[in-house]
Amino acid sequence: MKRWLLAAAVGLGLGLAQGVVLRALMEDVPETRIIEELLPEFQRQTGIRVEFEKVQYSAMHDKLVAQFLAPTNAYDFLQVDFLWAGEFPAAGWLEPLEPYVKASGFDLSPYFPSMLDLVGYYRGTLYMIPMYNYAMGLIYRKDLLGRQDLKERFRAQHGRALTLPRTLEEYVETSLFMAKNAGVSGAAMQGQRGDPNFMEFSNYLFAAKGDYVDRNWRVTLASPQGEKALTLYVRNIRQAAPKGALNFNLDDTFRVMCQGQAFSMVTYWWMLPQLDDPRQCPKVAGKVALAPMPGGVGVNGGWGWAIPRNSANKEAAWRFISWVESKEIVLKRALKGHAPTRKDAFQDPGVLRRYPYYRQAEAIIAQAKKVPIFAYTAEMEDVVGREISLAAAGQKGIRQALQDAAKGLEGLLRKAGLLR
Amino acid sequence: MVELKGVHKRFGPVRAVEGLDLRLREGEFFTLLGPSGCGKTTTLRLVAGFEAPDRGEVLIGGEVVNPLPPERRPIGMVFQHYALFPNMTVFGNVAFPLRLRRLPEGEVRRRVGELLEMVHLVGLEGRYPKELSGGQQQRVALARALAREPKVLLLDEPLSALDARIREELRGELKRLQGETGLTTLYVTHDQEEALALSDRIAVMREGRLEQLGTPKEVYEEPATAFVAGFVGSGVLVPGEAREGLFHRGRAWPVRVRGEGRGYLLLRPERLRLDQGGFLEGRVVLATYLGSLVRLEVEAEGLFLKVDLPPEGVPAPGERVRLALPPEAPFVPEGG
Amino acid sequence: MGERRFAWALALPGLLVLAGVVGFPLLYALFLSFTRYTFLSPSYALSGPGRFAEALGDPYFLHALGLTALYVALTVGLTLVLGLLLAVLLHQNLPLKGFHYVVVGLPMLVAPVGVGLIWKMILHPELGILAYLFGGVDFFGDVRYALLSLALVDVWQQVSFAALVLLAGLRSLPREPLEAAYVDGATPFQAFLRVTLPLLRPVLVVLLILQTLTEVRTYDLVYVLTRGGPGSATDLVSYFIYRKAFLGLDLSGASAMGYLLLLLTLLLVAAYYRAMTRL
Repeated sequence: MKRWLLAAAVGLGLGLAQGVVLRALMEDVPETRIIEELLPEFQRQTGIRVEFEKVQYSAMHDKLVAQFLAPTNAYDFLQVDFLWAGEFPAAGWLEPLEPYVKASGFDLSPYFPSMLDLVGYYRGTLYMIPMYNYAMGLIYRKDLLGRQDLKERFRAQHGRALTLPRTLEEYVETSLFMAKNAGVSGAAMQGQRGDPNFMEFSNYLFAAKGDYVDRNWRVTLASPQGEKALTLYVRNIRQAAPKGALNFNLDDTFRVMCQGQAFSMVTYWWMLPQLDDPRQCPKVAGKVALAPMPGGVGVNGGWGWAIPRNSANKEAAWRFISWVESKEIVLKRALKGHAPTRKDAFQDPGVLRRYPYYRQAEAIIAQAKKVPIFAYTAEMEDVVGREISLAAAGQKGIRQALQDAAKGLEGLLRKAGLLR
Repeated sequence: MVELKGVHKRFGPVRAVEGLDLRLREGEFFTLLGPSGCGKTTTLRLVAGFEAPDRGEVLIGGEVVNPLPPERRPIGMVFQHYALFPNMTVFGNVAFPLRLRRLPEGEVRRRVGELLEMVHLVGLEGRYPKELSGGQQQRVALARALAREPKVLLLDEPLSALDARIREELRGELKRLQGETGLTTLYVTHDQEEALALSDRIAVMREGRLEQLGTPKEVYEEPATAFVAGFVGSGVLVPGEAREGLFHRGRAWPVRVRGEGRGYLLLRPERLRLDQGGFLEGRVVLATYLGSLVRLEVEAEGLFLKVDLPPEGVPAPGERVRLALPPEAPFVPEGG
Repeated sequence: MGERRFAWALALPGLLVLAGVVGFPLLYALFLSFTRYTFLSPSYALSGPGRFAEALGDPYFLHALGLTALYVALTVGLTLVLGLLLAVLLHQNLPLKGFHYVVVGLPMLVAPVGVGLIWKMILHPELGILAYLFGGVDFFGDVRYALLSLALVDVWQQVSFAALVLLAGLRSLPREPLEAAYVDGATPFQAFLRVTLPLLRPVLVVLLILQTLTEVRTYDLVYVLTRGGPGSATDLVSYFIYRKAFLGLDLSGASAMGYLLLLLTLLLVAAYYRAMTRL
């Protein structure tokens, strides 16, 4: 009898060790379901079961913060948007990953440096492994650039050929030309204050060779480059953007572009397959193409994997991360449409055959630059976005708006302890 | 002054007023009497203009007023539940119809003063309705109804929400005021005592039709139908026959009646007496003490008769008594 | 005495729950507003009235307060007037009464976020039907119209509740004073103005208070429709405080602003209340 009980207890204990269940909070998007489809493979290899709790993006931040403040996190690992990639490590909520990388021999070299900079390191320490990329570039209408009448008229007006613009000035000039002559808006712009207009303007700023801060977090926004960027941005949104652009977000710009009512949009590169889909956008499918932001540099964006410091299953969580980011699984994900962050995935012949525009995407990611990532990134978007919106609405002058935005940013950096 | 000609009014399946013909004389106090649902209030509202007749005509001062809304009819009205404007003072309430007519403020003040004097409310001008007693509120309502100098005053059970004593006091007041102003008055009530006390003429209504029209005395003493006999005053209807000027029930009773054929003898309690040589013999079943009198219920020849007596020396239940009949009594023919 | 104690004993569990659910967060927020607590440095070190002074010195916060005052006046005023109009119409004996009730009541049943999304499409400057009819007015993208457009969408939803409350009020009014007014020679309009409206006053004041509280807290519509823009044309104070807390991660500063708002709202409600009781 006694022996029988002992055996049962041992059996139960083994069962528990075998039956580790990892839980993670994930955004409710198709990309998450791609990974979900591969999970049985992971369970077969390791005996570890993984469960995703899927929620809307807007609900994620608050849920995560609540769990970070709890004694034990309900999530064993998580995905971190680059906007939180300063806040979470600064608050001490994430587990440093270097010891795990070393112990398991995980190779970081295939990752784009820009991605490791964005959703890898925070102030010199590795807290995240890049998971997903959403850098920004230019999506434009090839058919309009190739139209004979427009070509002739453009040459007559501007004394040069109508081509893909190479600089920010050329881009805005082309956009304005299209708005006047092609019966479409020049640019489907997401001018809604906050994240939409901040992200969009940042592309203009980087394309004009400006930046928000220098290496030492000193604010450099109110520079001649900044002024040029904002001037061109305001001109474009006031003269070449669709009506209502001052209140547009990503969905609105997508709709306009999809309806064939705009020449171009500055947006996330993975929007291309959506627009190129004849079922979704029959009016423009086959007529759209992807290019880096004119001027070469656009805004980088992405997600990273991380382990909360108060996770109860850190080892198992790392086993999952190193598995899901292994070359084999990354390729499988990429072929199903999950935007990769490793160079080898972009150069894989199979992937390229399936998605030829990954060549342009690779160029975009390699050059992409991040906006300042720190504890108050979200508030920075709000403060800078407000000033851009005021300038775009004509309620504030360019220079004044830039100075006020710079002042606001400086205050936030000071609040975060990055500036004295 | 007010005339209804063949007026019909239905509410869905309910026939509220059916083929009513009435004619009020100038300066008359005219009462519509009947139980609830008899159509008396509907009739009043037809005159006021709150309801439109389905058929027939309503005339005021000889003029057909069917198409006129209430505000264009020359009427004043007092409602059961006072209907004062709670946000206005006594003065404001009485002045309301005058101000609507855009009288100069001095004139308004003078008229309101007169009216309040008429209803004995001088000194209460600044009070709000909720600071007044029920009787006072009804006086204000009366003053307001008179302010417009109407040709006809409509009163919809104006006393029924008041305490018994105030009701009686105000009843007298109403009678006096009507006499002083000589205003044609249409009064609606279900209280037969009120109707008898106030009216020049009474129209008893039943199920939308006119049952009897007459002076209070006629209605009380010569009810045209069993319904009127039962509704106005109290009494017992004895079934029988009128023959050769006497009432017969098996045998001839010593009661003179008018009419011929089958019908009912109306025996009112105040007309019966106890008498050793009385015609009927019976047994006291119940004695109810009512203060000023005692009402006996006496079983005699299978009838339960009511007799009102002064409270002294009343026989106890179970005692045998003899009843003397009145020499003459109302007779209601059958089918009436 | 024993009965009284028994009553307290019965009420106590409920009161305790109420104190916990309502009282505690209120007191906690009050306490926070005297500290420098943020999500990033959760310390309860006291700071005195500094956070209040900061809030009152923040031009964007003051702008949000002023804008909200304008917005509340606009929405509450329109809601009451239109609600009254609808209630009076529904009070008439119209054919298809039940149908009208349902239609008028419908907006109330939609979540504000849903209302925002519906109107976002209707007022879409390129694809929306109304923008088409109005010759391409840029309802939310033009600083001149954004606040008014937001207010109208809000009123569209709120009118539903106001109309039903006022209709219930009209239904419960005694018929006699109104009829008395007619007999006294008042036209329907005069009777409405001088008799119905004063009788309806308690209902109107309660509605005024409820609507004011609702509108001061307007947040979801701003979030869905404009995010406070263009510029700061629709940056209402509740949305401002929300951002202070969840974008700025500054819980103590947001609490101080919240308490300032609470104070102003209480003053307003007290003023309404005095107006109601002074008959």
